[in-house]
Amino acid sequence: MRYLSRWMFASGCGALAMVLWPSTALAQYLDPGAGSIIVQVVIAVLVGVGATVKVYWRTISAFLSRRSKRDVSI
Amino acid sequence: MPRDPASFRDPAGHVHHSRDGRIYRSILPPGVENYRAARDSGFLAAASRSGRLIEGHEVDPALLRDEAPDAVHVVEHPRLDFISYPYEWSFFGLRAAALLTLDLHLEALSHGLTLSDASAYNVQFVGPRPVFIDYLSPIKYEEGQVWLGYRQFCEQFLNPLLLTAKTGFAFQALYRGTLEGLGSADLGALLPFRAKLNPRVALHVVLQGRLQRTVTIQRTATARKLRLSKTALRNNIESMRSWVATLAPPASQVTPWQSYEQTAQYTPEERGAKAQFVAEVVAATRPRTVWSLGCNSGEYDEIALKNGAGSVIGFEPDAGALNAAYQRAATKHLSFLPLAIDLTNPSPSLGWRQQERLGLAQRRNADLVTCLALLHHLVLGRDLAVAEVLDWLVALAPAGIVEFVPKQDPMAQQLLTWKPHVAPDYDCASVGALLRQRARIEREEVVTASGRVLFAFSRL
Repeated sequence: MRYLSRWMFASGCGALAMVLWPSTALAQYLDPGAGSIIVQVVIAVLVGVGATVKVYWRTISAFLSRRSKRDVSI
Repeated sequence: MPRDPASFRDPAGHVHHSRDGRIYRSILPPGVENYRAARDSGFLAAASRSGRLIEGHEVDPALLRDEAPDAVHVVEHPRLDFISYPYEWSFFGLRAAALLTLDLHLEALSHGLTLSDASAYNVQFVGPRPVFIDYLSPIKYEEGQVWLGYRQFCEQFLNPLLLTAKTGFAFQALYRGTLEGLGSADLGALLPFRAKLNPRVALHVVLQGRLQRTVTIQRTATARKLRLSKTALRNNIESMRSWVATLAPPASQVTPWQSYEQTAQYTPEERGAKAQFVAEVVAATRPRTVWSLGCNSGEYDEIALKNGAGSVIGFEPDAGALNAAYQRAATKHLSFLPLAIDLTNPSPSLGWRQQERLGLAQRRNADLVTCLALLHHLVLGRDLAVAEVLDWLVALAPAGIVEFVPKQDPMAQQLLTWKPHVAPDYDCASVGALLRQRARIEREEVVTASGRVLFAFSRL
């Protein structure tokens, strides 16, 4: 996980949890900017995962192609 | 030295206008540390050298001792000829301003800084080129900081662009109404379902809008603890940049400017005669600023610039023509800024005390006004009296060019299809007589076989 620091990953998990279990309470005095902070952490995790997958994609595809060749030979 | 009426939000400093037209920025104690960080890191110098940030140099703080006695530093900026607002910009103009804001943020991060906001009002235009004008937006970056202006960036840049790109609805009218852009929840309500299937739209618009609507005290407390690494922050901004750069208006609004020229009802000789008239009047008057009313794709504005005009501000309500005009200005590096303004309903004064964003009439700065192929739209299409239009025109600038298009002209005939009896006294003789009552006619020339006439006038 080259692009994700440990604490940022934890932040991302927290943010994802809030997305998956949303509250419907509405408070006029609350800052809607809180929602924007959560979104950018979720996006950062997704962008980070995407970048990581991109970096390791060759390794993964090489691994998968090796496996499929072995399956064919069996 | 009065304070700019729009400069009241930031406790870090304010903008002042001197009576002789100079612009000063006070740096007050709450902003000193961040200003020095931006200055000493070399960010301000590098960004202004590259033309992305307005120039500025420190002057004696005693200059503002009466208006800002606490000022620790005072920076003088060059005066911009014309102030425009995001709700007046073309699609491509708003996109260029968005990309500039993101580029400067990335540059700030390289200097150990971040931008504290992402207001579109931090950007002004010099011709078609956006320039960042706020020296107090960069602040010291602290490890783990999130993108502080993310929500504002979405509301003031991304969402208006997405609205036009995904629905074809011109964002300017909505933007003028809200003044602070378009909220993600509001945009979510306007976008078609198909657009929301785009993963980026789903995250930046739909999810953000939902989370903003369903915020709670607990969630706010948790959000405050969330952190991003610098790499993640940079990745987010770069990812946004690459997306914004691909956003484009619908195909109907991106007709190349060459095709607008071809749709006009002129033979090459007639076009040449009109161009020569404009060129000669501009060369004789040498205006510093031209206001081009109904500029279309900017064909004659380019001619004005080539013949000695310093800069041109264009006004065009048609989104396609406006985009074409901006593309012309940007690709040819013309000092030409086309704006989305319907002159029968120009921008009013808006915001706090109606002084924050000035109405168009208060920003008048033209030395020459051109009103080419517009008069018939105002009189025949919008039912305005010729005398009123000429009063307004003569008041706009000390000199001008106005084109009379007769009722028998094929383009005027289109306007008269459903109201053939409108403006019975609209003819060349009466327009000329009314203009003569208000101004000195310097030159008059019939330029087309259909009877189009150009008048060059100067104020009495």
